[in-house]
Amino acid sequence: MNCKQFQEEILDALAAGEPLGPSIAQHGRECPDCRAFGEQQASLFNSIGRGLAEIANSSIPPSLLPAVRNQIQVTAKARRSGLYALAYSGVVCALACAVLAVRLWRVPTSHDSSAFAKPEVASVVVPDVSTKNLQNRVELAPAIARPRQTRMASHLEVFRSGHLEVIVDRREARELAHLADSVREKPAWGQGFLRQAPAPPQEMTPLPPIEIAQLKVTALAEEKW
Amino acid sequence: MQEFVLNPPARLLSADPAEKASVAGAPAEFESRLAECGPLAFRVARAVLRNDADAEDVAQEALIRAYRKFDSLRDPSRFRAWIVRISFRLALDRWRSTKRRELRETAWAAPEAHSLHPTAEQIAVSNEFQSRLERVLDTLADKSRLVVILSAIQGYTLEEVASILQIPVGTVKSRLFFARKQLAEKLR
Repeated sequence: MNCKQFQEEILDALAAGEPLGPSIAQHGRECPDCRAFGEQQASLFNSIGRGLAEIANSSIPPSLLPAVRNQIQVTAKARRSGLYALAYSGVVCALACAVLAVRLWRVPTSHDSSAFAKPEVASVVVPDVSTKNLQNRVELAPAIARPRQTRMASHLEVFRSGHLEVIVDRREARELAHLADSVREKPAWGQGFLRQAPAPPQEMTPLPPIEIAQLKVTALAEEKW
Repeated sequence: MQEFVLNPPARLLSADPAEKASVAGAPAEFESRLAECGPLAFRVARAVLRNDADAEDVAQEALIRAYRKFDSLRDPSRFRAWIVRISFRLALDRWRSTKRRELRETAWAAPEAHSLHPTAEQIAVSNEFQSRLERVLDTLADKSRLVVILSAIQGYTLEEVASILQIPVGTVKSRLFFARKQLAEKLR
């Protein structure tokens, strides 16, 4: 082992914190320059170790943990009050939404009586022509027959015929009145506004008519169990 | 009119004496780890900042952050590594901002003269060595610096450092080896 190799080896050994090998130790004993170099480097690494220990092992200030606990307490309180505030605001919002929904549902949408005055033709009644002259069941055209609305705006009116009830606006009321007059004069002409209901599916077999007279009626007292 | 009263969550009204004994609102598990990890966080920050007041601030901030996110920690066994990383990162941020400020404020001043080059033995016996060591330590890469600091803390073996940093022991050894060589080279 020459001196250069010795210097490299001893630096590696000192950096790794490992003991010197036998060949390194022997060269150190034989070469005074390398021995001096080795002692110098060992001293340097020892100093580094002591310096690092001094840096890393500083005394802990006694105020550290109490201060952390205090801050945690403050954080916990803030978090708790935040949770309460969030929950309360949620409940208040839900209540407000519920009250608003109920009010919107119950109160008519408009109170302007001049714009939506009651129509003059409100008392006109459409004659019942739906089933009188037709063999099959018929229904009114979709333009006239609308599903009954539970919530009625002020500008809509209810017309009751013989068996059904429709809600129309003012313009439709006038047209219906005109139609009623026409149908009253010519009942057969009014059937042009009616259309036949769609036929039932073909795969369904119609039930044979049953005459009430064919049914055998037994008195309740004579039933046997 | 009906009055609505919100019942507070049952957890917050818990009358468990053990829970009351700990820090209010803090999980008992966190409280138990605070005593162990508080000093560790401080020492890591102190090794980076070399200032007790700043290190205490950083350690407190790291512990408070850990407390806030404690519920989201999946593996509680990694708490120590977590604290060390938070503390180290916060300390590095503060150290860098301090350096930038110092540089800005003293840019007009003349640079320090380093005309003398004393030998290693002369440096070692003087206080200058410690300040030089601190300066040289700052020049190490972050990964190496953290390994050097943790392995220098009393009571921590290389295996423990490896478990704190979640890296193999061989990696700790190699980082320490190159860091010590680098330190010696710069201090020589």
